[in-house]
Amino acid sequence: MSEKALLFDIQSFSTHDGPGGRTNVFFVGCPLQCRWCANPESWLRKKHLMYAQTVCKYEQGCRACRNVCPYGSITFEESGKPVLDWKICNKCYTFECVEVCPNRSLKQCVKEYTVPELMSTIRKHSFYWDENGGVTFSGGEPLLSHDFLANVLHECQKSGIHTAIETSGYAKEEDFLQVLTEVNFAFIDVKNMDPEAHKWGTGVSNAPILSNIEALTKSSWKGRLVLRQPTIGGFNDSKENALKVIEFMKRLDLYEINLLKFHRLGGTKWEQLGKKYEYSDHGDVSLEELEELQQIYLQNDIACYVAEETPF
Amino acid sequence: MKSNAKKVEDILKARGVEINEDIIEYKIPEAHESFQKLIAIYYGMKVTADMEAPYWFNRIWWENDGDLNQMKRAKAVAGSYAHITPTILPWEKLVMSKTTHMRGAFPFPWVCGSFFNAQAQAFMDEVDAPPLSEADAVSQVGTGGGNVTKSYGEIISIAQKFGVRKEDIPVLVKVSKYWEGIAIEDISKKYGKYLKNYDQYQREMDAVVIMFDSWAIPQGREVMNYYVPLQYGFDKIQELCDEKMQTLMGEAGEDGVLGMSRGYYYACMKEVAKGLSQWAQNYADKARDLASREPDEAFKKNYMEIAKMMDNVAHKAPASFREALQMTYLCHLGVVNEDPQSGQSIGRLGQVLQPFYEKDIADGVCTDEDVIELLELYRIKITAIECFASSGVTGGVLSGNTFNNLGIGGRGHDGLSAATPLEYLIIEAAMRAHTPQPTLSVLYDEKLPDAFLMKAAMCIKLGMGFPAFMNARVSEEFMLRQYGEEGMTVTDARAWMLGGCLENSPGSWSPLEYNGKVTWIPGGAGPTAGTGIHFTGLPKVLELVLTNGVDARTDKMVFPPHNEKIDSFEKLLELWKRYLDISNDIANKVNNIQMDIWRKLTPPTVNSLLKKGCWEKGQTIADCGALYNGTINFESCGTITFINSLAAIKKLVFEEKKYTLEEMKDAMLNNFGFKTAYETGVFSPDFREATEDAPKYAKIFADCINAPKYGNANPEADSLLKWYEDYMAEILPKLRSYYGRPEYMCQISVSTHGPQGFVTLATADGRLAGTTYSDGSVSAAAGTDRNGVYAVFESATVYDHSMEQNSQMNLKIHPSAVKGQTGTRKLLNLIQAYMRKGGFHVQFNIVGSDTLREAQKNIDAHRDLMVRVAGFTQYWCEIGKAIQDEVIYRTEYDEV
Amino acid sequence: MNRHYDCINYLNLDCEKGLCALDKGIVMIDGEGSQACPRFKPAKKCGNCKNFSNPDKYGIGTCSGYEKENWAYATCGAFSCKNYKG
Repeated sequence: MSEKALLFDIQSFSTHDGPGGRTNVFFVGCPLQCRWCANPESWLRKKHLMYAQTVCKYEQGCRACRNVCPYGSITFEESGKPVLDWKICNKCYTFECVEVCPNRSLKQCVKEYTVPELMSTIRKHSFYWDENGGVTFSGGEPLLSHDFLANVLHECQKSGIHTAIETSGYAKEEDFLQVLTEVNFAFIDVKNMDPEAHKWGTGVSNAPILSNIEALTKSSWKGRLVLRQPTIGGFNDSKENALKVIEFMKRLDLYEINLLKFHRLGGTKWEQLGKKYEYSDHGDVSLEELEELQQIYLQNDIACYVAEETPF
Repeated sequence: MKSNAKKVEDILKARGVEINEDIIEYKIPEAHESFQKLIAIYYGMKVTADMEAPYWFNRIWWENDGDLNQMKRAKAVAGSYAHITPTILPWEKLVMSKTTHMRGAFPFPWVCGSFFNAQAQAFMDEVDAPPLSEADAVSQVGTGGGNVTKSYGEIISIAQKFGVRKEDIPVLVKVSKYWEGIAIEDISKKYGKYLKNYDQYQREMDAVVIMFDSWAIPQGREVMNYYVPLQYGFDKIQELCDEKMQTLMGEAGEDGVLGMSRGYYYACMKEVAKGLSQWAQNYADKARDLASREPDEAFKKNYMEIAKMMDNVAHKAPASFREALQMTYLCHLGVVNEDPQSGQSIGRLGQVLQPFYEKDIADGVCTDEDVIELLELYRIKITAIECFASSGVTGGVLSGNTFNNLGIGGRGHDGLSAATPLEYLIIEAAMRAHTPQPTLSVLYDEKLPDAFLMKAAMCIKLGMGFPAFMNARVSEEFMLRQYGEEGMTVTDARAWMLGGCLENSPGSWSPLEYNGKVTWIPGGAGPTAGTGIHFTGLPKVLELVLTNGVDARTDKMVFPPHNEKIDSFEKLLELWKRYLDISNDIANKVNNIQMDIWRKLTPPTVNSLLKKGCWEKGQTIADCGALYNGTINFESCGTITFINSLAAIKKLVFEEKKYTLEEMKDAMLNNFGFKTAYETGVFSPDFREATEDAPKYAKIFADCINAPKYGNANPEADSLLKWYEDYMAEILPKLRSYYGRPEYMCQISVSTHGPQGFVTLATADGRLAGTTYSDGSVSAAAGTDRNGVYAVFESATVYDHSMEQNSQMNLKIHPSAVKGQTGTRKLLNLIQAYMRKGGFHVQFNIVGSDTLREAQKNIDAHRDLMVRVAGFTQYWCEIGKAIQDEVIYRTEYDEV
Repeated sequence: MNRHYDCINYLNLDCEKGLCALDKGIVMIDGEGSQACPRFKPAKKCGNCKNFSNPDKYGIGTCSGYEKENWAYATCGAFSCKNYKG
């Protein structure tokens, strides 16, 4: 029980990540680096800084962060806009600038939790769930913290708490099954059936993911599995890809998939981390296109849900 | 889409997966054509004041000079209604309005005439001014919905809201002159001044520590009771009055003070019934008059139906749903027209009218669609109710709203779910016909059917801010706590309803005989909760403790200097309590005098026919005729700003000793080195423009901002809220109202968090000078809740909500978070969880901040956009900028 | 010039406009478009009543229609007045 994990958020009233109203626990660290990622702050598996320019009040004359960085990372443009040297900031572990920022523009977004600490929050939240609700472990990639997570799942089971996971499925099979066989509900992303394309988009091959899913279906696990596809225009929105997913699902007798609509809401987070966001102007998929894909799945007797229109 | 959903369902069924909700949401039909015609007219309407009613009130009052006050009042009120020119629009099925104008109201110089008398010459100069050019004469007043914010052409703006035609101004001036020095305002001031420390009250009012005189809105925030007219009709009421007079006139019974008044009461009620009857009759006559010249057969038929309905309403007990609804509307107008008032609640109308609906449906007289159409039209009728009060009250306190609240659900006389089939249609009508009023309130109880609650949750998602949910059990506990000493039973406790936004008000049950059976219908049984010590700015009192009683904004002394060294947090609290005591003591006495003078000079008359207890006892509301009279209260403003300020001072000054209290005060006086909102003109809570002093205060400012904040399940802040609530529940009942009953706390700021924030310096929680206080009483201060909605709920329920009249929780949720039918279920579950935890009230703005920002830039394109402000819904275009900014800045809960 | 505003078919809406009961269209009280059509018939207003006399320049005069004589004003609506004499 001495394990600790780094979390970047614990979200209340999460409504799209499993049945009922839920608590969503976001882990940091991810073996994938998807080009369109909506939570890039979860990539680094350490406490780190974010700078939100949209809430920074430099235009109204705020210079609260002047002369506070002991490493000299913060300089100012002529307009007064603070400029961070991310090479320095990404190594920082003291975060003096966060203390002085009155706008929460500079913030340290990761917090360390022990199992009892996390359970205490989850138990408090449990009052507000309905009979279908529970906790969803998400990220980042929760499987990177599989030992911690296994302990948390064990504690949840003791209290009869419904658990769900959102995972990329990218992990050692042993770690994957250690966790997955203990949850009640799983979302696993299938981002692209083509190994090369998958590697281009996410930085890793899809082979371990697909084999993990297969291993799960062959295990004695009784939970509910819903595949998920963040649908990115020009990457995985083709009919061909859908047919390959269908073939895969048919082979494993899987019957639920949720097509998510690409959104750009995480775009500003890339800037906040000092990175450039590649998908700032493409990748959109319309609801109509998603519904066309949905038709293909339905014709093949696969229950396909578009965006938030899920039956749970 | 429907077929996709079906297919999904089939696949899941074949796999044995249970489906909880139908995936497809209910597609709401459009509103009926009559509604669409009338709402289009409504959108173009200017708020208008005219002089018909005040002229006749004044004339009849003085023609009866020398009679008993209550008789003068009854005759003048009833007679003025009987003279109002009826207006019927061709598409209407329900008729009547406050005045001859759709959004009409009128001034009450007998309540408050000083303004008109002081302005008399200026008004007359405007009337005498040479006519403007043709173009100016018709120039529009720009944005702001129907508010007439500036004079133009033949129209003079009063209170930056009402348009008055120039020809009415000499009449206004002439009528006002009669009341110079003898209006309620003047007489109550005269008696207030007998108090040696009356100037203490004046100083507090000037400093806006408290912000409103009770006579400004002497009625409202109470609940209508339509029982007597629904049961008897106006002819029969007059007969009954005659009978009562024969037995009671000249008889004191065993009451040497008020016993004799009973005879006079029934004499007055006879006048009231006569006046209301004539008012209705005038509409019947007008309908026939219009029909006589109407070329179109369909319109003619409609007019004749109206004539028949109004003939019956004028004389008989209603014999159909339509007549009953019209009767309740007539009575409602009768009450809201007798004083400046807001928050006159309709009550639990769907339970009151259920017997009529039931019979009509059973007899095949009408269909559900007919009923929905009437209910849609009723929404326009209620939305059009305006209140003529001073500019500060209308705009600053009320945001132009009159809070005619309609309750649904709750528990019945038998303790079971009170939800009726008609209430489903009331929600349905609100979902089709989008208007801000009547706001709907679900009196939440675990016994309510799930389908009923889901329907209510569906309505919330439309973004109109209602229904709000109020906790029936918590309220019933409060009822017994407050009204137990007046003999309230558990059964009567269940008859409660909100009077106004969320001021729960005592009720009682009456046996309505209709359709061959007796139905116990709920209705109001207490006077106003809208008077007392109203809107005490808690953060302002704390500021004055730090400044030794002097208002730093104006450099005037408000409280006597305490001259004490504040060397502990306990000392700080002690001084805050001391100043609050001084304020409460004088404010209570002065307001008691104001209300006592009001009830002695102009006792409520129509309302005294429509309040449980009065008719049975033969006493007006003024003479404790209502069944329960302990309704007068203390009203707070800025609770969470106050709590967060205490938390910051406690931690930074007294625990960590990072700053001295002097340093903290210096930072507050210097607005943490930022320009004040008065300098920048921007009152948005998140706008800060630095001065050259900013670096000096950067550290303390960041520390104040980052100090513990309520709403994050952080005991450091939350424990202070519990302390505060417990303390107020202990001290307030020691104050006695003019009814001789204990007072209690009401925690709804309405819109006063704008003006009261305006006069308050920067606060230790990091709020800057002049910006709004936190809204609500248990909502987190905007932007400070960082741990999600469950944490806000945890914080809000650290104390027992039934100790106080109410609490207020505003939440803003992005529409995407509750999309679909499963989203409706999740929203409902969230509400239910909070109710089970003991929260009294929760309401939602389900609208994106992006939409609101866009609407602020382009108001005209969003004439129909509505938001929830305090306990009411208002058109976005008709609320002030400061409150708009505050709503935008509230934390939005969504997926990202 | 007869105004819509003073016509029997004029229905009050607000301080600047009303509705023509015959055409069902919005009509303005002042300025352009305020002139009545040939169907004009005077509305019941105190100023048109035989019991009303001696108006001053603001239209305030005397009403002798009731038991007690009193002042009244010409533009006051009189549809609901029992003692109106046209």
